[in-house]
Amino acid sequence: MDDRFSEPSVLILASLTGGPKHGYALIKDIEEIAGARLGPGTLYGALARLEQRGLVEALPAQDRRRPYRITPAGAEAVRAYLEHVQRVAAAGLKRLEAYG
Amino acid sequence: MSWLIRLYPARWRERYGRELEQLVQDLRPSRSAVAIAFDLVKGALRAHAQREFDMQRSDWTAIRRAALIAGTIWLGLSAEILLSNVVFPSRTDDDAIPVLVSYLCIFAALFLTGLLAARAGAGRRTQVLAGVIAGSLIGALTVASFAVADNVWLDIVAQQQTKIDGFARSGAGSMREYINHQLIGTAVGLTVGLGVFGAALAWAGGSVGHQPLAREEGR
Repeated sequence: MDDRFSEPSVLILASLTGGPKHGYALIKDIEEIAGARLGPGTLYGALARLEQRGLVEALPAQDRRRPYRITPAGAEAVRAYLEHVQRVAAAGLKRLEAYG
Repeated sequence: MSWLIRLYPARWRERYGRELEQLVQDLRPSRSAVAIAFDLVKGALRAHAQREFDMQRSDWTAIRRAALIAGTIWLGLSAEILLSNVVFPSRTDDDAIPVLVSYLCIFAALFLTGLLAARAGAGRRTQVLAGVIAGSLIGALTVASFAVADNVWLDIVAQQQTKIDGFARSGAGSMREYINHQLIGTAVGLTVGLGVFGAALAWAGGSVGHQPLAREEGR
């Protein structure tokens, strides 16, 4: 299993596939799509690691809010991860059906 | 609440601090202060741990590069030792230019070691350590090459006038004994000497290659 992403990183990448967002917009979007409430320290810790790995990039700051966008490498990485999760989920659900 | 951001590493704060502060202000009306504070402290601890990990990684990169540079220089010197002492031996002591070129190459390599260590993000101590390692390795390995050449091709090497004169003055029982005795002293001198030069030149190279934003403060 590809364990390169902790959950906040996956949530951030998934959110950014919908377009560039700054920190607050990311937190609100992640709450909406995943029901997860990321804290500011958690969000920026994950953002910093993703930026260091070239999976997201910073856009010019607007006042003190800086939007981030996903890079092609980030999109490819999150796609591979989510497809893997999807396969595991499908297999697990199928076995659950057989289990009763 | 924003004062908790000071717990983060300075370089991290420099890059993300203003954005994080803004985010805390944006979130404050809808989140509890305790939850935000706890999350900021947790994030700061993790940022420090990440910084330590990054430092260790860049330090190892610098040491690996030092070993690689030393190995490359040693191969070049070994080729020169074989060519000038065994393949094209000379009975006269006319190797001043090759020796000078060899030392210039070594010094340039030691300078480069520090420069590359700085570019890898290594701190000052690691830059100097990389220079010491590269210099000492070059010194020790080069003497080892001399030992192999002198012992394996003793009949050729023993024709050198400097060795004939030295052996005559030494009182040693054999040319091999004389040469190996000389090599022991050279090994210590060259390893320690090049280690010291390595420290100084790598420090100088590190000053040239230093990238202020590539490293956390305090190193």
